Amino acid sequence: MSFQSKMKFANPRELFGQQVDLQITSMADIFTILLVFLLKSYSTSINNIQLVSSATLPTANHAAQIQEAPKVEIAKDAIYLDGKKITTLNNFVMDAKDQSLLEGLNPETVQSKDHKILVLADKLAPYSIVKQTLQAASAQGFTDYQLVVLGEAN
Amino acid sequence: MKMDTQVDVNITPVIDCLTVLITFLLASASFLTIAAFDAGYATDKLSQSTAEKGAPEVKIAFNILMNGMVEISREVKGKITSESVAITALGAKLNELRSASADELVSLDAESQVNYEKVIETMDLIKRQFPQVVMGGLE
Repeated sequence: MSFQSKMKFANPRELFGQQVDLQITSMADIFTILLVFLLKSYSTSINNIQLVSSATLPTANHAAQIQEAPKVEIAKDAIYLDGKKITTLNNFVMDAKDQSLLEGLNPETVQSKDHKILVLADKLAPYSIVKQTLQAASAQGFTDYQLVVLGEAN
Repeated sequence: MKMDTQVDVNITPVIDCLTVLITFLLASASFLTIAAFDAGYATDKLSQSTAEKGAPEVKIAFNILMNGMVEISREVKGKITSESVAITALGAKLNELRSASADELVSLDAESQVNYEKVIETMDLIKRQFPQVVMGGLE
């Protein structure tokens, strides 16, 4: 046994008091890559819309960026405007005499820039209810509508 | 005689592998995002005459039928012609229409019981050739 190893054995503190170097070079590499990725995917447009109902949006490939506007959500049991129920539906069917949709889209109560609205409809909804909603919106002056879909990020 | 050997675990290559894996996964990932189709018209962007009429004039109109066909109506030199094509053949028909027509604006309508998903799929197909699609039949 060498003299140095005998000394290490005699002094337990020195045996375990070895200097430990923490290598952060690789960790810094990971953070840099993550940062570049997040900067690349950063977008100033709306990318998070909360659905009030359990509606499932349809998917599409060639959709454009969404813009901020009042949201009209068409679900199986109701139509919502910015999260607030304005019309009751029965399996996507609205009562013929029901005027609540037209009243709910009153431009005096709906704050919209450039007469724009977003339409979020369940993919299983028949086109008739979507058309009724768009007609009511057009009658109240909201002619610039965006149909919200799920699309792949570019 | 006991031999004391000090063993160090070198984790640098492991972290390098993880770095490469993370880079590859991030580059190949595709995420679903919220997007939208412009399906209306902004009245301030219309010309004076069309704004007075309340809606833009379109010369090509698509109508999705319940039987899986798409009816295409075209106005050519004052005459309106109509034909039906299967949705599966719509892509080829759109190429033909695009090369024959300089119109940028088309309209899309559908029968009442057609699924909204089908309408969106058709609009997605039409937008490849005609970027400006408005919803028709709303007057």
